[in-house]
Amino acid sequence: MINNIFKRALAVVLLSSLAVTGCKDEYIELTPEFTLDALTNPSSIEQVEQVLGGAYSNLRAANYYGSASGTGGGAALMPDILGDDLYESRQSLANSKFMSDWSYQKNTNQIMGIYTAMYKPISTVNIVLRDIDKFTTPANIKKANRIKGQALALRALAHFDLFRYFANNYDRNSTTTLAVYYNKNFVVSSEEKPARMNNKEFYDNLFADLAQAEALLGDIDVVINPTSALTRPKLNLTAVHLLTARVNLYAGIYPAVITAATKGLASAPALATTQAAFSGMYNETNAGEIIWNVQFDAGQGGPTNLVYFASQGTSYYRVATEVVNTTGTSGLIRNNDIRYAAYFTAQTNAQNPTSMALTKYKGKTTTSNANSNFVAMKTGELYLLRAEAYARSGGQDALAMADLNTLRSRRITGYVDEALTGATLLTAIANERRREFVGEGQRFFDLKRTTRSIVRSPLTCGISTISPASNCTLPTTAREWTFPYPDDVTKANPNIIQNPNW
Amino acid sequence: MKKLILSLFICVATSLFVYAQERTINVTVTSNDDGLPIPGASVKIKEALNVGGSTGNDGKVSLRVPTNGKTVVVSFIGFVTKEVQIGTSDAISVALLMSANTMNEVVVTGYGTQSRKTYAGASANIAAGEVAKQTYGSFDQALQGAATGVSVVANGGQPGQNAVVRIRGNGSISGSNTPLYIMDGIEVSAADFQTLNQGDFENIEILKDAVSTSMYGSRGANGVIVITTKRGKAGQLQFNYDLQVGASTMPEDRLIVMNSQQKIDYEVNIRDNPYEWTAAEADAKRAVNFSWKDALFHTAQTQQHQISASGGSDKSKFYASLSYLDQEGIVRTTGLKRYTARASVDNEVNNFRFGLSVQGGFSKRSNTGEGDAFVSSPLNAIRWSNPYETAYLADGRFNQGYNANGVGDGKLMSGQPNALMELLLNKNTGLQIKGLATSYLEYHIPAVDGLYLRTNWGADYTQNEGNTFTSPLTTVSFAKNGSLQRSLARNFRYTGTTSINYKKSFGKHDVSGGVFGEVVKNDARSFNFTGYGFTNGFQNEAGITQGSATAANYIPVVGGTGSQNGLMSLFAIANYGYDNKYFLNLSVRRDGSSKFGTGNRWANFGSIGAAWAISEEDFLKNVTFVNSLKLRASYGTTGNNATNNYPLDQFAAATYAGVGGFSPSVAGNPFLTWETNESSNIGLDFSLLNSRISGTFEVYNRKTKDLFFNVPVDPAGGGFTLIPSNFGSLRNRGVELALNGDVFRSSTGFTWSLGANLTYNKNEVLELPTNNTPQGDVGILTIGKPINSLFLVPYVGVDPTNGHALYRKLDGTITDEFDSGDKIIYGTSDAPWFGGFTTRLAYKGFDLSAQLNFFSGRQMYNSDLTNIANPDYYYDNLHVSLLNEWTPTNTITDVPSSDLSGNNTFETETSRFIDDASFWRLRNVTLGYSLPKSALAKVKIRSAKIFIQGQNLWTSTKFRGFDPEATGSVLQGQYPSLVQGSIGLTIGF
Repeated sequence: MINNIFKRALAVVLLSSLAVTGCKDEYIELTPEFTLDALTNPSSIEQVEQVLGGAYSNLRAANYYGSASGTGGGAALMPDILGDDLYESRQSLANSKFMSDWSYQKNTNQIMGIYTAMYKPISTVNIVLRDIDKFTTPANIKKANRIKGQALALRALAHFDLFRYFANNYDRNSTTTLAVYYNKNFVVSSEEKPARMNNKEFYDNLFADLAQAEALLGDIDVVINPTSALTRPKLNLTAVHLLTARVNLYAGIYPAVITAATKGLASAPALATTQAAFSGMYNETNAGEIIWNVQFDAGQGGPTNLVYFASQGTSYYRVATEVVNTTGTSGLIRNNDIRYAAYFTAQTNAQNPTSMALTKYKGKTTTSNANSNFVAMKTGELYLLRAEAYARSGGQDALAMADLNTLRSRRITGYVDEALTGATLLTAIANERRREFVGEGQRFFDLKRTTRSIVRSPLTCGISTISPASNCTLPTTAREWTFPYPDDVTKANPNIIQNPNW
Repeated sequence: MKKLILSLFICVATSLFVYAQERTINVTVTSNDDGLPIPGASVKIKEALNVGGSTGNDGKVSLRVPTNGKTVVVSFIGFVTKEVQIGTSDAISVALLMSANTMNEVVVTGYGTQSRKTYAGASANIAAGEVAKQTYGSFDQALQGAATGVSVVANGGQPGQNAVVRIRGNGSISGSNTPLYIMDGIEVSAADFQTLNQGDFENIEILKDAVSTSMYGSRGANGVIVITTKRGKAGQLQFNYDLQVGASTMPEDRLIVMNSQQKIDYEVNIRDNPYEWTAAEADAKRAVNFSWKDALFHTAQTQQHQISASGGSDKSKFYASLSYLDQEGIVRTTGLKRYTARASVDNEVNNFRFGLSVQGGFSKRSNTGEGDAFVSSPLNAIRWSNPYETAYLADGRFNQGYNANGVGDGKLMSGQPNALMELLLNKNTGLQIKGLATSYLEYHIPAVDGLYLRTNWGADYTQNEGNTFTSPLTTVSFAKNGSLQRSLARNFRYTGTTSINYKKSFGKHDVSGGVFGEVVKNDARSFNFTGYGFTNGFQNEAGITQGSATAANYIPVVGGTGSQNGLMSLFAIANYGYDNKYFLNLSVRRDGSSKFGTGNRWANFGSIGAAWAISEEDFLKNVTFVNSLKLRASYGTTGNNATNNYPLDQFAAATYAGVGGFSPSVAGNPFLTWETNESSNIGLDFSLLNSRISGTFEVYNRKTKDLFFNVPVDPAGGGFTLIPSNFGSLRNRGVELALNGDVFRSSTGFTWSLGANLTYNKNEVLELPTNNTPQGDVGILTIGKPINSLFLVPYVGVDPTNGHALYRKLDGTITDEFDSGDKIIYGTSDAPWFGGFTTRLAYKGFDLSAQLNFFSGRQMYNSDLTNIANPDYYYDNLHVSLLNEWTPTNTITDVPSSDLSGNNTFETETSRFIDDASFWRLRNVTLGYSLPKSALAKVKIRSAKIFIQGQNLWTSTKFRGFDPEATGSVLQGQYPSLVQGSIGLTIGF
């Protein structure tokens, strides 16, 4: 009897368990409701385009074009604090003193942050490039071209941004200099331990992507950045031309710079001629001559906080007096230059004598909330790229001077054309780049690819009543010209060969 | 089978016959402590153990004693069992002594109860009364030092903050190390105890080894804490009222910053006078000495009230309670207010038993930022704000920079935000609603004694509402004219368990067991928004200025997310005992989790345990000094579920330039599977010298394999730096000793008892995919070393010739060039040695008890110190040691020069910032007095007790900070544990 009851009771339990098992989908076969699984997606060309949008959003990372308090800005303001246009002020919280003092180490978090942030959009566009062909039909080929072209351009851009920091030099054909790994696949696996490529292999991949992007973006369905808008948030054909010219300048292939810059100028917006058009690029009131800006919408931060903590008006880094002074009467940029008002504001506080703060990214319109776009490419750069390429090609100084005069005459009120040649011309171009690109992520690399020497102005650097900076010179032989591969990477990936002297 | 029933019948009939010539005695059981009656005490006749009963509310019971009955045995939980000869009188009074050995006779495993005697598992019972009397906003704080093998470290002193509880060490690297909390059979969230009233707890059992935890299979790997709440007791309706009022204050600060005199001297004499003080200004500033500590902290008040009622008949019982707790934090504006209500009923109708318990709670917690290095977190100002700057100006306005129009900039002269202003003007409150409901239905199958069906279902609902307002007058919110962040998150989890159970004795054989089916499902949702533009004076939603294209600065930020996970299990438990001497406990369990991929979802767990009651053997029967002796051994496996809800690579929504998109957000691993713990345990329970000395000794070995390990990868491959995987193994091995002794017992009622519980736990990494994997900035995982090991460059002092900091390289040479490659392994923040000592003195209604806890052999990285030892921050206050920094005239020192040029960079990842974080702490001292029953009876009060207690009154440590009791290997911006005193009153009607 007991046996029977036991059996019956057991059957009840087992049945109820089975009943539960019957609806096991409800308990253990759950799928995410707030994320999209990456096994079966993207599943349409629309979704592929949305992933491209995700890759663009990766650019806003604090260590790429974004910033956090006193940190970040890998491709935005970091190259400026590493250079000589800015100096650390006494308002600094020393969050990036390691960087601007060139005392970074293999364990410096910001270097790992920059490395990770720059590879992130690469991995995202690799999904686009993996899947776009699956959804391409004769009917949507132009749309596919538009998506794929941007993805390739973005992949080239991010790799080049990494390369500028982590390669010891920019020689086009060096097979001994190690560049970075040019990643063309999306692989999430602990087995993936890619080795660095040498410069030649790296450039080959980079130029291939740029060439393909140029071809694809020449045949698209709709305009990428509507001309009427105040922003130009996506990479179009002109941006590819500019990037091609920029890469070629680093690689020292001047005819290619001239070709690409000329193509770019053909489709680029005209140089901004008014203060409103020029300042408007930075405070989103005018598209001016933007070719490509990284878009930061409300609540998405912006590039400024490494240098100028806009919401509190705290200037962690200030502008060296050799660039600008508080009255606009000395230094490279004077008060007759539209860049003067667009870039700087005089500031004072208890610890710091009155000096210039880099306020160009303080916010949109008149706000000071750090929410502004980063102007990563503008027409002015095309002129400077071509001018430098002409000047370095030999025998084309006049053409170089013409480009320089064109740019200067749009920037400086009452500018009178000059006729410089040779070394003087090259210096003039370098100085113009300095004026044009204060706080635009170029300075450290311009020095690295040219003089490979930094001597910060003794008027500000090392003066303890002005700046806590401890190091004011970076000699040619210094290992710090090249970022070390971070400990976190070398530990995870034994195939990485460390940079010289690190 | 029929034969068996027949023999049982004969057995019973014979007994009846034997007991025919009996007489009736009336036994009254009281507590020797206070003379109060003890209801529910067990009274048995030694010579005929099947005769017995329980005392009623008046402590009385009548027994019919057979002729051979000579001795009554009286026992009750928490008291020393007493034997009394039956004399000629029919009225016998027995006064029980409180036992130092408070071990409950029953182990509550959550899936049922089992006699501790027959149990082979390792578990610890915590006296719920000890937990309830301590007015922590989160009850887990009160578990510190209460049981061996259980490390409880405060996670901060904010009222309501939960503690970090680890049972037998950290068993996982990338997975969860949090124990499972079970209340009345259902899982409750570990993070939110702020809305639970510990006064409702009847019993807390901590399950530690495989036999005790493996019935939780998939969830038991980190140990289980089983809470049983109070249920109604049969008898006359009883009311209880508990009151506590107290005050708390801040502990001693051991991280010493400069005073005004020192700071000005440092600025002017050692450094370059950055503020360019004139001699007169400097002298004026030297005299200020404002205490930012006193400005931000205050003496905080606490009060707690609880009323409860219990009663019912044998067939229907109820319990109900209401409680209110108002605990201010020692940092101004912070605190916890809690309201809870609870009711439970238990009914018995024929063969059905049905019970229901519901609890509702509401709490409001006001916080301030802690554990960060933001200048806007007020707690950091204690270290950073200069002592010569004050919080208020002479005219009563906040001290800040004012422009010509009288508009403030929120900052002191140094540029630091005015911390008091930030604290008083900004609000950070969390409102929690917590609902817990459990119910069970049992059907006892009438035809078979001991066989019953049971189903138990319960839900844990938590709703957190966040309200963070930052004033437009404070630095963080100038740009957007203030902000209000509101959030609502809810979590709903239900647990259902259905089982068939059987329990029966056949002669010398005791059999029990059950087969169980269980489901757990968790569903979470949240949303939030942040609005800006507080220009009209309101500090709530009414103050938000709606953002638009023309007011883009005020465009609100909105967000939300959600997740689900579930678990299905089938398991069986079997226990067998022979002759009250040999016991066997078995369990098997099969679990499926939604968090793993299809092929890796299911896993089997199981355990086997055996116990031998040596003292029941004949050869020990005559050894009078041994009262009980039991040897236990167990082995088994348990699982740890993943932390990510889904094993897939996933895209999260992302927006760029106003268009929605997708970006890879979670690195998946379709092969991810259960992390498994294999534990073995050997335990010895003993009770000697008429139970004056009792204790437990345990040795355990807990090995975790297929560790959840987020493998570091080069982000060049897929953009992720970590990929969840199962790799490697680690081990926690240790010994535990719990000892209780009654040093002195006297018939006059004076008792003195001592208790100790000591734990040694050795944590050791056994296998890793890559040895020496860095963990964060200052940690490392190395085979043979504990997890949470500090990994830093050895700092060896200062070069007297130039003041540069010196480091030791791996080859032993000394250099001033910092290289992260020279890091070596230091200690760990997980104390290998910890425990507690208790003592209790009682005499005629008075009792005095104290608990002293210790954690020994731990080191912490003092991140707070790095911020005030950085010479670059000399605009703000600094550590006093910098007064001794290297200068050309002070060359023999261990503080480097403040000139950071050349190689003398300020490096934080060095051994200079390691502190010994071991500590001794007087956790609790209580003096209580129970009023004599005779006096109370006149005013119709059943019982009354008053007590006074102090918490954390004394701490001894070398740690440079407020409180060594911090979790993780790094410390900064700490909200210290409270030093608290309170007076309590308990009245029963």
